[in-house]
Amino acid sequence: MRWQHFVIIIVILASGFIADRFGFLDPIKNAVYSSTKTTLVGFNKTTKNFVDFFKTFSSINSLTKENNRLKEENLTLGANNAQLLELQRQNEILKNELGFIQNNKDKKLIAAQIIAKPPAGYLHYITLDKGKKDGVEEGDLVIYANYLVGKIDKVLDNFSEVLLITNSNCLIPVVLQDSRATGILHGALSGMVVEEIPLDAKVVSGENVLTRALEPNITEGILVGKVTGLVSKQSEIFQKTAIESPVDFNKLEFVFIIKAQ
Amino acid sequence: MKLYWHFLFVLVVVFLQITVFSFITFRSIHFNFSLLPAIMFALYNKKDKAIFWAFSTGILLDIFSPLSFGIFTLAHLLTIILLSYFVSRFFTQLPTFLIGIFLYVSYLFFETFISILSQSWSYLSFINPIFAALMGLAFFLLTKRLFAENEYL
Repeated sequence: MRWQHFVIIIVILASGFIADRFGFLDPIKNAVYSSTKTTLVGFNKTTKNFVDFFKTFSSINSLTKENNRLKEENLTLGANNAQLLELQRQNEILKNELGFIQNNKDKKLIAAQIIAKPPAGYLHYITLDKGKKDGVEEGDLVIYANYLVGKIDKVLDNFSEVLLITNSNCLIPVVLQDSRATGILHGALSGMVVEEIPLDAKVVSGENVLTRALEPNITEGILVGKVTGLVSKQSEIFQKTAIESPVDFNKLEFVFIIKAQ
Repeated sequence: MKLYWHFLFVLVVVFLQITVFSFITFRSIHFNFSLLPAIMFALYNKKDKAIFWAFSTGILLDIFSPLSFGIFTLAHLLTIILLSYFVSRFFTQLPTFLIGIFLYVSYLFFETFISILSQSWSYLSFINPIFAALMGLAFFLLTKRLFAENEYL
């Protein structure tokens, strides 16, 4: 390989980097995604069917046990749900009587398929097949099975890129459900953490973590996961807890984008 | 083999990487298949083809990635250029037992480089290369004759 080839490579990389910074690469990326979408979706579906086929045989016994356990849990949850609905009704009556103004925006969900994932698992992003033309905006939240999965980072015409909540650059304001402690969620070396929790907050292991509507596109009250324990040292000025989500981010196939209306 | 066949295989490898191999994980460990052919060519002293594969797969991965353009290409090229230099400088014929070590070091360099440029740190940066080296070694033993003896490649 001659030195001229290296110069050409460096020029291509430098121009590509500058073009990407100013958004000139977006139409090219959009065109590439559009032309390869069918192939990528085909590969994803075939892989999932293949993996599911083999998983079925290996997990028949555990599936039967889990099915029985879930049936019992479903009965208990049904009863709890009925009580919660009653409490919600009473809450609404009380709010109306006290003259509270409800700021409950209706939420619209956009279903999106994952068409590409990063080549390395620790990069924590996914690409969806919905973009500007479908009403997706930067900062929109992405959920799966009512759990928060990520935030829209970049939007092309027909595709968008999502930073998963396991990414250290994805910052989400959250509240811990029982202790009402507030903090900032982001990815860390060994999972997810909530930082900047005031020292006087009494964090309880196992309590739910929910989103707070401190930014324009963030919907309040979306479940993120559960607290697994405190990871901060006693000398630190804020508390830090580790969070666990039941979502398997490696196995995601489709998600929903929340549009607050 | 003509250049367009190489490019077609590059496309297939990149598609497999961002779909199939991203889905098949073991405790969050991914297999970086896209770098493997370039490493194979470098280990067999086919420097031009190694750099072509590194550049092409890198460009395609950069297009499919929300990270800054050039990160994957730069990481691929640096890994392959350094590997090619060491192999051509110190070995006329690489012993099989060293293949695994070179694979691990190449992947470790690549993953560390990507982690630094993307500011995404994880213990997986050190675990992935072990898994990749083992898979790469298996791939090497299966395709030894194809890469070594086939002038057409």
